[in-house]
This record gives sequence, C-alpha cells and structure tokens, in this order.
Amino acid sequence: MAATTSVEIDSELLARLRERWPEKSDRQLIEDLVLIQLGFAALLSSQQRNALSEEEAVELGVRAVHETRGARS
Amino acid sequence: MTRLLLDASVLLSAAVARPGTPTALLLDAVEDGTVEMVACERLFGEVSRGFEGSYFRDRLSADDREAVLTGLRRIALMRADPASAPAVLRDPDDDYLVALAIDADAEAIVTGDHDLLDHTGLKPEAITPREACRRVGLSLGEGA
Repeated sequence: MAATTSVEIDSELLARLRERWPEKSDRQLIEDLVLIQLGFAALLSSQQRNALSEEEAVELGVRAVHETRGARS
Repeated sequence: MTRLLLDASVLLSAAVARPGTPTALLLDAVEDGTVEMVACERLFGEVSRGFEGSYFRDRLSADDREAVLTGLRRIALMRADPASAPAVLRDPDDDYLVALAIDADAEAIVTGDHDLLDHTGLKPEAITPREACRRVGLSLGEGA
C-alpha cells in the first residue's frame, strides 16, 4: 500500500466535490484529481513535442487501432 | 455538457496531435468539463495496445503513456463493456462502440475511421473530430 500524507483543502471546494461525486471517498476524490492533472499534463507535453497535423494524427490513430486488432485476430 | 464517445483512434490521435487541432481540442474540452467522454475498458484496451505500437513507444515514455491512460480513465464516464453488440457495421470490431454509445446515451461517436463515418443512418451517428468541435462550439487553433 502506498504511503499517505495529509493535506489541507478549502472546505467549500471539498463539499462541492463530495456533492458531485457522492459515491467517492475524500481520498478517491483528491487522488482522481491528481491523476487527471498528471495525465493531461503528459498529454499536453506529448502534443507539443510531436505536433502532428490533424490529418497525420487521425490517420495514425486509425492505423494503430486497425493494426492492434489485426495482430489479435 | 455534451456527452460523446471518443473512440480509440481519436484518443491515440490526440496524444500526438498539435495543440489546437480537433482531437487535441476535444480532450481540452473533456478536461474543462464541456464534453463528457464515455468509455469502457475494452475501448481503453485498444488505446493501451495502440500505445504499445512502435510509433507511440518511440514518442511517449512508458510513464507518460501510463499517465495519459490513467488520467483518461479517471475522467471518463465509464460503462461496462457491452455484453453483446448487434452486427451493424462492416467491421464487426466496431460494433461494440455503437452498443456502448447507445447504453451511455452519447450524442455521437467521434472517430476518424471511415468504417463508421461512411455508414449512413447510424444511431447515434459517427462524426469526425472536426465536426464534433463545430457542434460543441470549439474554435480550431491556427493551422488546425
């Protein structure tokens, strides 16, 4: 199990999060936000680094899906 | 908020597309809550396997690929994999997308795949990333 730590957060913000996702614990709420932020930061970094055009990127995405399906069948 | 199914081709594309291009803009809209993306584990399995291809492996580190996948899973409206999908499309591997979109009440399936885009009368309809941006009201960046 990962080591944990405690943080302080604006109570009203936490209340809004709890209201939006009542099924999640406070820990899940905060961890989800962190993981989403890290994911989108990695995404933006990759977009800036690779910078494919619309056509190139879409063609690549379609080809990648078809190749992986072909490899599995 | 507009609920859309972004297929694996769109998610893979968005990982390497220049910021401001349609697939990148759609994920920006997911992040800011303008678009709600619906997904299932089967769809993310396709993204994960796509990321293992040489092109993506060479351009995104393993940590970044994992971070992107995890972030998208956490923000997506997850549904169960469709247990059975009626045969609708010329590529049967795409049929689960239609079943998922119906189950999740998505307004459209966003894809670059002409197996879906060329299918007339599909419900919900399949649209390109560019058309999805237009409908959501996203402004394409310069050069997009």
